[in-house]
Amino acid sequence: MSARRSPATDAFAAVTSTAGGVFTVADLSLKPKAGVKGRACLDWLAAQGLSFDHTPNRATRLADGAIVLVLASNEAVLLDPTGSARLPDTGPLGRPLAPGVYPVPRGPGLYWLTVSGPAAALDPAFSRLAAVDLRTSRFTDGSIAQTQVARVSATVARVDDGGAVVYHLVGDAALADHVAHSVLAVLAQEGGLARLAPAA
Amino acid sequence: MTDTRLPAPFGRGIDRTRTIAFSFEGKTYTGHPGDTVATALAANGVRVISRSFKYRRPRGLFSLGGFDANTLVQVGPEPNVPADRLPLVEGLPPISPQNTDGPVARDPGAVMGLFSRFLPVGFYYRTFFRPLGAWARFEKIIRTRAGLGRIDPKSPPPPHVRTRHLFCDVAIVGGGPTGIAAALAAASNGADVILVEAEPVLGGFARAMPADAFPTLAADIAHLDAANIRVLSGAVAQGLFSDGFLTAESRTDLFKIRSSTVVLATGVAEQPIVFRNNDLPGVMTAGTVRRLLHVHGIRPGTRAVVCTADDSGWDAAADLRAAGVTVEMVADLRAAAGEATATARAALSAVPFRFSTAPYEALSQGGGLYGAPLSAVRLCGFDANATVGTVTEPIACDLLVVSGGSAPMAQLAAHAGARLTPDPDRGFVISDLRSQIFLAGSVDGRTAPDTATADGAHVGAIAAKSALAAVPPTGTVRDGAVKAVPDRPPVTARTAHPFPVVRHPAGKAFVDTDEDLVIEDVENAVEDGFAHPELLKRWSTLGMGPGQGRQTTLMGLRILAAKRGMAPAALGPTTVRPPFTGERFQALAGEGFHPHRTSPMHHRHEALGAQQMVAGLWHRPAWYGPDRDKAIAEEVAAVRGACGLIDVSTLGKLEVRGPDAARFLDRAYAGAHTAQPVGRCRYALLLDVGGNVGDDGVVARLADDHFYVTGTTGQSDATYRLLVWLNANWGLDVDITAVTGAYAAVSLAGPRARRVLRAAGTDLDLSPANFPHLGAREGTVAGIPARLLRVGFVGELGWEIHVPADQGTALWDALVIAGRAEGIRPAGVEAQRILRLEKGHVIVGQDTDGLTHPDEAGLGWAVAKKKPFYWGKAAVDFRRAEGLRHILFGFRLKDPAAAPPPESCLVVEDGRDVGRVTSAATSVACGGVVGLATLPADWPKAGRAFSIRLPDGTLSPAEMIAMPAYDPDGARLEPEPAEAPEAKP
Repeated sequence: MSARRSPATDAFAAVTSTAGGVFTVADLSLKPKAGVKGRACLDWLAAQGLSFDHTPNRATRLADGAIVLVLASNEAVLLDPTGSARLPDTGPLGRPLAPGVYPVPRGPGLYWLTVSGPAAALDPAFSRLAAVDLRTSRFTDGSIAQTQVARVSATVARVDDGGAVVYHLVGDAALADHVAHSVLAVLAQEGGLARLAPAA
Repeated sequence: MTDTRLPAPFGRGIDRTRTIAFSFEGKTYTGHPGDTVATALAANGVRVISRSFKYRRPRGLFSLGGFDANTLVQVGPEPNVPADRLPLVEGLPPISPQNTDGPVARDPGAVMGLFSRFLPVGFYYRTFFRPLGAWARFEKIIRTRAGLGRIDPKSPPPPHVRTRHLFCDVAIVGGGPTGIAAALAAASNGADVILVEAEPVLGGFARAMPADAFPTLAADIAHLDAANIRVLSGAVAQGLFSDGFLTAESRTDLFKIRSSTVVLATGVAEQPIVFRNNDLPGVMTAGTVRRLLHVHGIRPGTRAVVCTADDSGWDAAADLRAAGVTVEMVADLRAAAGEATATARAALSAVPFRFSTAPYEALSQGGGLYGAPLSAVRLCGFDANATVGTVTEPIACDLLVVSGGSAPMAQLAAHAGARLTPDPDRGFVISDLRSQIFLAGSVDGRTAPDTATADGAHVGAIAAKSALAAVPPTGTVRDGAVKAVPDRPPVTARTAHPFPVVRHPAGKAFVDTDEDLVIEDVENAVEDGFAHPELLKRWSTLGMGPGQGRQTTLMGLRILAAKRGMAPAALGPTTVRPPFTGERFQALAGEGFHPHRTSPMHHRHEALGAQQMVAGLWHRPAWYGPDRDKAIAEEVAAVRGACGLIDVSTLGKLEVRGPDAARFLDRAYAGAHTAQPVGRCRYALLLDVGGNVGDDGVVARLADDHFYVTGTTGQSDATYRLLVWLNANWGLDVDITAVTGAYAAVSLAGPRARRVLRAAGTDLDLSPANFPHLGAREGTVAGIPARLLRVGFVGELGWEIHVPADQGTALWDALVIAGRAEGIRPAGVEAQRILRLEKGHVIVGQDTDGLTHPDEAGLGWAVAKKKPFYWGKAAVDFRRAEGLRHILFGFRLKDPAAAPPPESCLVVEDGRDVGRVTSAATSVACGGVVGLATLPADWPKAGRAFSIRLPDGTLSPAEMIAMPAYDPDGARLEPEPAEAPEAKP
């Protein structure tokens, strides 16, 4: 398999963590991702054995660690932070999977960043990045906001992990450098970067 | 420092244990933390801070609240900073006065005052342009003398102002006792509260009163944090918009607040009294005096006269007396004082006082042409009708305290559509507030200090109840959390003189000190026909200065009404709009987010020394290397002679899939796609509803129900939106997915391209028979899954290779390695533009504009002739019937050594503009400059001569040529036509 490169690589290479920092930021862009669209896509996912909340703008963490983001009644994104979850096979060629079910090349097409930290720091940081209410008290676990981050379209999902608040940011890979640079800059100003996990 | 500082209990707002040095007009002064620059100057005995706009009169402290231009200063590179709002902190750059040609106390520009009779209201509409040619001379002078402050374009840019988006249930503007009480009440009722205060310290008017006036203030302020109330101090609320959207600006942040309800506890603004020389340094409002005493511990003068049109002047007089200032006289314009003055009057028992008495004129001594601060005042008899009576002898004083009543700070309410009705006692009464906006405290007539807290508690509770009654996102109603709402105190009964305007035969009674407007200016404007408040404002500029009418609109309205013999309420004030104060561009510019899109191979281009260009949001390599002309020439030569590698990842890309995919494309695009074979590409032309060229690209059919569509970089988003919208109307069974960022793409072009591709490794048969020009295949290249489109924008053998974006770098590296032996070279956008121009290929958006018919662009061949419908067909047919006016055609400059004409140079014929150049470049292959231009459609084709007008006005001769100018037969698209199919196992 040829070498793959995360679109956020340069942004992560340009910053360093600092002592006393409060945020952990990870680049999961090279982890497995998949996407499906079409009027029957949610039912198709369910038929593949996935059990998740079908409500638009809700995120579900599956038992094997994968995350399902339902963006609309006819679109979903699947994220596998573990690298070992069983994401449905959507085929390499982009052909329709079934009547009304189409794969979307989210693997290479999306950047994927996670941000975690204390609520007292997350709230002011995200107040600078997005114009919707992403406060931890209001943007609860499982919420999705399809909005703008640093002036460009992005999807923000909150999927907590073991009690830690974790925000997932996904968007067009071509904008990854801009978004990653902007997010890392704001986080550095609003509490500092405790830990950086570039794409592996 | 002069001896103006007072001991405790005065000066509660400063830290006397520390001093801070600063520079004003080249001299060093000191102040204390808690001072503003203006109060620190006052403490040092500096009475003149600036010069007035028109007459260059000396000006000093007046309102101490940013309500006038008197204290605007230049702070380092930043002009127009209100010194009465600028906290004194360490490290301030040198501060200088504005609008002065010399020392501010002795400004030679004061000579303008001698010409005041020639500078009446609106004089600039009647002067400076006669006789003919006069304006050219006056303009230079006016440009150097007009405006306030200086901008230095060379100074380094200031730091970014952060933008913060905040959300709450109740937003409260005003951090005085009322606002604090409202915040605590709202929070105790379960609301999420934000409190906005313009000063760096909470407390509002309570800070300007003795400490025992509000004994619980400190404790209440401490409780705000415990109640989880977010306090934004030092933030001016700039605008209140619909849906509870409020903006506030501090030095470092622009807050955009969305709140369910908004409480305005914004207080009142003291109004001036209008009398001769009411602008002299030493004349200041009662509130200013009290702030100087109680907050900053500054004695504002040694001998004071107090003139008041309402009760507040009495309190100021009592405070002055307590501070040891000699109060020579208290003059009340009214016939009697209000009951609320009883305590103050008792403290002033030894001070002379008069009723029905007004200031007649303020006097100064010395100063000559430059003017000087106050030295004495003459009073006069004054009745309810503003009739001037007997004038007194001058009373020596260095401080004249004035209070002309007050007006509510109603600006934010007015932004949100409230109605302001003039009122003789309250200034304005605010009504017609939108639901979810509430008023609290003195802004709504509760001016008595003892009602401030109670009114805040009442309104805060109401606002919380209103906010929480709405269903929050969690779906639960929290109304049960609301406690009982305390009763609301009544409006404070008070009286003020309805017309504190004192005429003087020698004039100079200022209505608007920002604009140097006097009573006669307002009345003359009315006589000139500008008799409506909105017209008066625009003709005279009344209220348009930095004070924005906070201390001028009411007085101006009253004078206008008196002139017209009407009641002020019949006229109403002018419309108030955001922002509340001068809003910095730096704040509006916000965070330094500069969106950009990068190709997956961007880092490779950087490493190769690419000069990047910005195309829309994309960064693209324009050429590689420091020498532009050399690099481009070599890149062009490489493509024509060996093999070029061009990053085309920026192309728009779409997956169009489903049972109706072909039908959809047939309807949306101008070409025919239903019968397009699988494995073939076709040129894709997308029009708009007016039949104009909108986008172009390639449609590749990968399967019966699967198309891969490319388009231009610049139109990818718009094309996607149009197609999705079209199908929302048509309802076909098709899915359209934008995948621009999901695929990296390169164009591998040149006579050796096939060899390079084979060397990189592919499972595809690249022979001409099995992969002809316009073929489309799926396979692998260097082990990477790929889509290959055999298309040629540059007119050479070549392939576009599309791979998953995260493997774009791997593809690029594999091709570079494989192509080394064949002379492969990366080529940038500039080289690509020359190559395509030699072939006469159109760039949509450069060679076409929003009104280009496909026939005009030479793309009529791409429009299907037999389709009954495609998007834009009706307009295409209609315009064909009308006939073309222009066509896009090739040209060559007669002089092969000439420089290419810049794009959009005009084509001229007989002195008329008849067309324009859309593209032009020097082409080695074509032996000179070739290009495309829009030309009259009725011109004969190739060979006709014409002229292009260059930017310097000279004419460059050219002639029309048929395109392509290079390889017209297209033989170079397949240099190995006889090659046999590959033998695959």
